[in-house]
Amino acid sequence: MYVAVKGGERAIDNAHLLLAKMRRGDTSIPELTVEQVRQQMPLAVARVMSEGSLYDSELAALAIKQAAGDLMEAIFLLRAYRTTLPRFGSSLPLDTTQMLLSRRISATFKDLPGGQLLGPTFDYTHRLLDFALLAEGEHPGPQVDATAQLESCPRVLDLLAAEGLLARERPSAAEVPDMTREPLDFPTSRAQRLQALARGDEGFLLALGYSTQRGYGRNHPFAGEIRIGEVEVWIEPEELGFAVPLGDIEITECEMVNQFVGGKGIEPQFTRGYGLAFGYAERKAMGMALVDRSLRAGEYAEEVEGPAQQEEFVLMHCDNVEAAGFVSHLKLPHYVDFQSELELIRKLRKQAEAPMQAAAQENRA
Amino acid sequence: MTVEHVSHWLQPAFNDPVLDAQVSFRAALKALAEPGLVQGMDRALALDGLQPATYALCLAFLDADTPLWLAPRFDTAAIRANLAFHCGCPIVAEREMALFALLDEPELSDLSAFDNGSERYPDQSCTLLIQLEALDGGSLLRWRGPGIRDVRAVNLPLAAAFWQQRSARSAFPRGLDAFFAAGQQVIGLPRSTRVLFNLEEAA
Amino acid sequence: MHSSDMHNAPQTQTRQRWMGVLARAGHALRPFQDALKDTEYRLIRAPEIGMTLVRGRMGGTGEAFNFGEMSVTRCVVRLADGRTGYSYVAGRDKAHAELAALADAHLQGTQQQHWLGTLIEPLAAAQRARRAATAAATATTQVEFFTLVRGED
Repeated sequence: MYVAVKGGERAIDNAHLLLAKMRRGDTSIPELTVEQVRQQMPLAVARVMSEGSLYDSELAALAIKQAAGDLMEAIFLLRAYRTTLPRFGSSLPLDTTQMLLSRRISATFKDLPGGQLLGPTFDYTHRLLDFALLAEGEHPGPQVDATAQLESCPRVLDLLAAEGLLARERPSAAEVPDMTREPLDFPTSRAQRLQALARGDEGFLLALGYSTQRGYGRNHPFAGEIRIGEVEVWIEPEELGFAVPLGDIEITECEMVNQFVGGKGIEPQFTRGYGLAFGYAERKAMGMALVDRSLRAGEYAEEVEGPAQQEEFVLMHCDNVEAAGFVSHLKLPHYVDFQSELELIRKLRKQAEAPMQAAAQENRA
Repeated sequence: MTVEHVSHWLQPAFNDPVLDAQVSFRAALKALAEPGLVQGMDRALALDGLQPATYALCLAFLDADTPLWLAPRFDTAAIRANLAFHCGCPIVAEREMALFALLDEPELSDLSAFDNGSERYPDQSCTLLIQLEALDGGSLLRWRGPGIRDVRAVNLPLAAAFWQQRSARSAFPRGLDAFFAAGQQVIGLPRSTRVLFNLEEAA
Repeated sequence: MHSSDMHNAPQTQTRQRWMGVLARAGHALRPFQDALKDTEYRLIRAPEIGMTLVRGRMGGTGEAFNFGEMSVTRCVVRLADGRTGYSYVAGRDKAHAELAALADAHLQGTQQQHWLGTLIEPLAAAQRARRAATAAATATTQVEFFTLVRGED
């Protein structure tokens, strides 16, 4: 039973004022601008855009500032804002093969057309705190040969597909399901799963991906290709009758290739897992690709033995806005609920104690 | 239809899309909350055969999630192009599929195919947007029900067939809600309003 | 005309190109504001902020799936001579969307060459230069493998 309680208004107002004061910190230090967050915390911005499911770096930076750096709170803010926007249709599917690359690596082939492009990366850093950053400094980047160009970078997995060792991904004319309009219904299609995973929590997907390699689901993955860069987005407005480019967005794409020994009528081959995220978000894209592959267990007649292979478990728990919302609700007043629990426990205690007391009296007698 | 033609038909709609849609939506809510009372609805311009109030209802209600059925009189290139452009609503050929229907008086003699909702989801019925020449001049009827203190006299210029059709499609909570629009005015008629035709019923 | 025919028509491709350049222009359109607005026009659709559902493809080339939304601003203007200009631009900059729609309208008129030369080509060159600079910077991180001498012979 819920009973309305009043009286918290002044306390709540003041709590909000205190929160704003906490967010601002020491006023002798200059206030952080949204543009500073956008420019100097691009990876936090990317995460908020991906899981907030709205590509808008300024709004994501604003959300991070407002949330005092709590990224999950920022994701919630962005999700809430996106519900106020009208939707102008859907884009044509991204052509990621035409990306302007800022990073492209493959763990499956050393020498590949286009080469290994490291781009800006934390890999190979020593994870030693850089005390130089305590002071302001110039970071001009490497010496660039302005005439240098990138060779064309064909998709790594196409090389395997050309040999017939991997199924080709082919477009289809099927209608694209949208979980923001039609709630998920199990079993789900791969398109539904990828949409849910794209909004899913990075930590959750990372942990599930890790679990598949520790034995919870047979999965032996290689990072076939990871690409980070800018890709054009096109839409075809009804009133124009032809498609037009809206601009570019930064994305991270990961294609995992997994060994599959074959069986139940399917030949030995490699199989695919796909990850896609807004911005520079390598870990997210990799976790997503691992989980996409593990959720394809049914397709390859694999035994479902780990949590990462159970679609209901994964998809119903991967959204951190839902998860945080549900857990947060435990903070709501449950005074009446709890009173009845308290009475029940007291009663049960009394019942349990009565025979014990009787026995004790008997013993004394 | 070529796209050049589509561009040619397009006209401005609300001056301030957000505010004007909110004001119009609010007026529409008020029209349903107080059945029979005339509400102003003047935020849109006329469009082709649509009067300002009718067009404002369309702009306030319709979007990509609201399939619309158009009476033949309103099925023109200009109306189709502008509704697609400003509202993005799908226009359907089957009445059964429509969540909204844009009607004129002659269409009111047959409402049998419009969805009147289900017991479980009575809210998913088709809402009728009916454009009339005027909101008065018909025979004086007395309306009763939620939103009306005692009784309200309304003289919409409607043929008897409409009232027969309406009652044939009415099985509360199922039923059809209607808006009547003329010029810059609107009257709402929710399914919950009882319309009294003669003295016995009034008693 | 069929939409696929329309898509391939040379005049459509020219227009797609300039609309793409305008969509990426952002603040770079500001200096052209006076020139673009030096005409009578009305807003058929005032600049409006919304979002577009971005789709990806499984494995980059396969079946489409819904990936996430991006903010988009759109605008439609009509010049006094009846030409209609459209814009659909990433982000939430209403002024950008209005100027891009105006430019699209101007570019469909008799002054097309003028607008291509003074507006589109300089913007396109700046955009090409930015892309080339990104590519050149990335090129500095290309790995040049070499194999260490092995011990077997």
